[in-house]
Amino acid sequence: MRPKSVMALFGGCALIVIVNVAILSAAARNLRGNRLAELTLTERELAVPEFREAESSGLFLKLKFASDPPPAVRRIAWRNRAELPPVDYAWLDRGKLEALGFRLGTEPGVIQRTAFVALELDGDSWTRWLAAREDRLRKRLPSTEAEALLALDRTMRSRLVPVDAGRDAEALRRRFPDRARYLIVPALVRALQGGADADDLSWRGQIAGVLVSDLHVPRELAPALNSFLPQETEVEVLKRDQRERQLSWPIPTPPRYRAVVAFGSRNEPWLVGVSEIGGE
Amino acid sequence: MATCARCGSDVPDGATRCVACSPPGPNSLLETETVPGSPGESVLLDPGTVLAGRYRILALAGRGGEGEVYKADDLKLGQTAAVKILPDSFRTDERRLARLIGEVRIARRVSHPNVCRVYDIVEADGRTFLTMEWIDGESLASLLHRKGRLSKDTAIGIARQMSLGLAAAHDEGVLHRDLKPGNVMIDDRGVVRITDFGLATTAASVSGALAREGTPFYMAPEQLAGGEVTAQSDMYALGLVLFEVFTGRHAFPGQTLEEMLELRKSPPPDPKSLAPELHPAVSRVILRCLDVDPMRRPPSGREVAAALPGGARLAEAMAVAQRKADRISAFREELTELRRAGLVRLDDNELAAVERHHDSELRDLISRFDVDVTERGKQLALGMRVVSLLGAVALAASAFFFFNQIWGVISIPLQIGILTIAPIAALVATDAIAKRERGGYFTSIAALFAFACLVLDQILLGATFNQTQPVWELLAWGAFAMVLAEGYRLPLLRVVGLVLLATFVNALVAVRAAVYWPNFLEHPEGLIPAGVLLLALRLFVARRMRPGFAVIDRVLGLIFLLFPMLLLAITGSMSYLPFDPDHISVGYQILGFGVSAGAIALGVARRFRDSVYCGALFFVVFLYVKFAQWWWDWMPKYLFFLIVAATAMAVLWALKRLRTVLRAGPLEAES
Repeated sequence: MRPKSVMALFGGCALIVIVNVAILSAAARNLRGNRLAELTLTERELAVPEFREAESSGLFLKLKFASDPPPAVRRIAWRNRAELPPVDYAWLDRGKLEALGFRLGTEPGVIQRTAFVALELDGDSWTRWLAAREDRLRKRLPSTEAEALLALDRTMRSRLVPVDAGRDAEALRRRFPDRARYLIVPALVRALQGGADADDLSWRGQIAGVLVSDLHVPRELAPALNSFLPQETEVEVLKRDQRERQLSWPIPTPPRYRAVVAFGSRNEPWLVGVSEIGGE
Repeated sequence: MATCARCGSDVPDGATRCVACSPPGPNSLLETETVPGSPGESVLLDPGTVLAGRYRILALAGRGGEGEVYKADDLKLGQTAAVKILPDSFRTDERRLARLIGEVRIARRVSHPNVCRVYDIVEADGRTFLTMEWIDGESLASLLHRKGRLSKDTAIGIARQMSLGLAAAHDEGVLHRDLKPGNVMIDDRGVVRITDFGLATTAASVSGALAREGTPFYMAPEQLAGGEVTAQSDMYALGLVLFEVFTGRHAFPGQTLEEMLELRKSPPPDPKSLAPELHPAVSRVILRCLDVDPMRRPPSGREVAAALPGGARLAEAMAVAQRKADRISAFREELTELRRAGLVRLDDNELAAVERHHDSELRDLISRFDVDVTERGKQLALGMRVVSLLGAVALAASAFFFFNQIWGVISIPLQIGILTIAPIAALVATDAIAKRERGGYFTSIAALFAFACLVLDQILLGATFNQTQPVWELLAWGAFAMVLAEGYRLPLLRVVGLVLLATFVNALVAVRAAVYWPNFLEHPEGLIPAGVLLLALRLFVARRMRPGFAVIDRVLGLIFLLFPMLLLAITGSMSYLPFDPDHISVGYQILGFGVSAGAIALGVARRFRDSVYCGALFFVVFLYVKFAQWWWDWMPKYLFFLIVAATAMAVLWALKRLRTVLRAGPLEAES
């Protein structure tokens, strides 16, 4: 046997084992350590996939926050050109962006950085966000459309609202100690210059997304979600949409299930349990 | 303790020459004892003597088994040549002379960097002499005499070159029959050449009196016994020389023919016992060469070269084999043309003999090295490489979709088990295939599949436990690809591995700056240290490691260095540096021009064709970017593009000049 191939065989196997041990030990540390948060969310915050996956038996729930439209609304809003840009967070101003490490004015127009973001569940910030949204919708859209969207927001939109961001997760946790209402998650923060007004050259920030937004549903919890899964694939839905010129807004549907999510010592989430709302 | 036959001094057991009387050079007492015939029949020539009106003798260079060798000026060509004056007996013995002419004819067929070229045989001025390539250097015998034992790197270099030179002679059907340190020359640049094909023959084997010709000290047992001498006898001689090169001692310290024959009936001592630091692979291959049974010796010098440490040169051996196959194909085509034109007339028997010989050689090359014997075959081989890549991608996709299909219905422990075992199983399969396959097509598919399995393993395990994608994944993937590339000589995986490792360095820099690392193209500055590191490793630290990957390393190193510089020269705001973006942009423009020009200069100085091309390409692109920044806005577009076209022509002219200069001194990309 040639020495180089022996090295490749044994070195490669060792590398595979090391990689797997690293991933599994990280998972074990996260699961066994202190739970940094445990929240009960609903379908509004943890959505089932929008379409049926024809060739995948795995299931993930998508973690959403207020600026993400509900899956049932997103496609129709895009088709009807009716969904408005997300509401800006007043606290994510130039000072905060610079505190997060952005060098505004010396970096490209749209830049992203990673940071920890505190998300509040169904609190004052959600009420304020909804009020701001209501104000914008009423000003920009015809009243019937605005009412339809507001009804959808009130019943289907995620109530998780980003309330702060920082480079230190522990400092954020000290500011928001309620582990049943606040999540501290790694996220992508985006800085943009300018607004709707051409003369506006001010800087503003957006939460582009959380780094882990897809939560794996273990095999033992999947049956509880079976009845809520979509029946049509993306292609089937798109074909159906093409047949209609104007898509009608869906009827607001209250969340059908709730899910308990825990965040371990490494800030990585896992699904603790899923139950049907009204089914218990 | 033995006694020197010349001066009577004590010679230690195992010593190859008498230190008391044996001067440096290829005339050690034991080495030059060629049987039959002896030197001394000719008279020494004075410096200044002109032979055949063409060769002016400069100095005596040495005495070999069959005559003296002189350094001479070839007055016609204006270059130095070696002239070997043969004993007078050659002129009087017609059969011997005819045989020698035949030997020169066959020796001229061997064309290899590690074989001394024989030019001609001349009969003039009452003398018969051979003219050969002059090698300005030292014989291996002299080197060994001077240094005793050689350093590891020197010894391996000499051994490899000797092995490849001998393989080239055997490829042409030429047996050397007198391989010994005195017949191996090393020039000033360290290039080894096997010389003195004075006893060479084309016969696949010789026996009887002819078999005993040569130097007994370096003869195989079957040759000493007067039995059949084949290419395997040369392999034995190679083993004896290598034993001496690596240990500084001769394997069998016999003084008489009987002693030598008796000692060769049993295996020699393990070279490692004499040189404990010797690499086990060297020891093994020497002992294989010195096997009493000729059939158990390595079939070719290429196998010996491939077995030496510091990089199995199978790829090199395959390239040599491919060149040989190409030559046969070209010869056949040319012969057809010449016969059609009536310039060459061969009767059917002669033609059939040549065909049979070439067919047999091609069969051998195909079986040993998977060479392509036609142009169509070579195109097919390239197609096979592309197909093997597509096959690997398809196989990886198949694995991904299969796992996607079953993922939800199996438990997490089973998922972990499958994901962990899949890359290991694929790696074991790669290794098994690599041992059975020479072309590397299926090995390539299996290795890429193993790589894809590891990537799948990490991504899916990360997704199962909802983990953030860690930066070190890039390191693990890159390292795995490099291990596979190194172990199974897979250039594609080398490229994949280097790109991943460079991305890892870039990502580390991004993480330190709190930039989301997967958006690495937004901040390419971190690739620059990766490029510097790769080029430094290839040019200064690991120059001789895996020479087959040298071009890949250099080109990728330059791309990692110059591509981010180009982006930053266009958009300085991509930089991490806390300076004005315009200043950064200008800085990188200057740096880009400098590094591009440096790459061209390096390529010219070190004969790296790839470096010249890469540097020239980036230099022109930097130039165009600069032009665009200067003139795009205010200059009429027709004028702008006219200037661009004129610049392209100027660069073409410069490159053409450069090419002319480089052709004068051969520019071959060092591989």
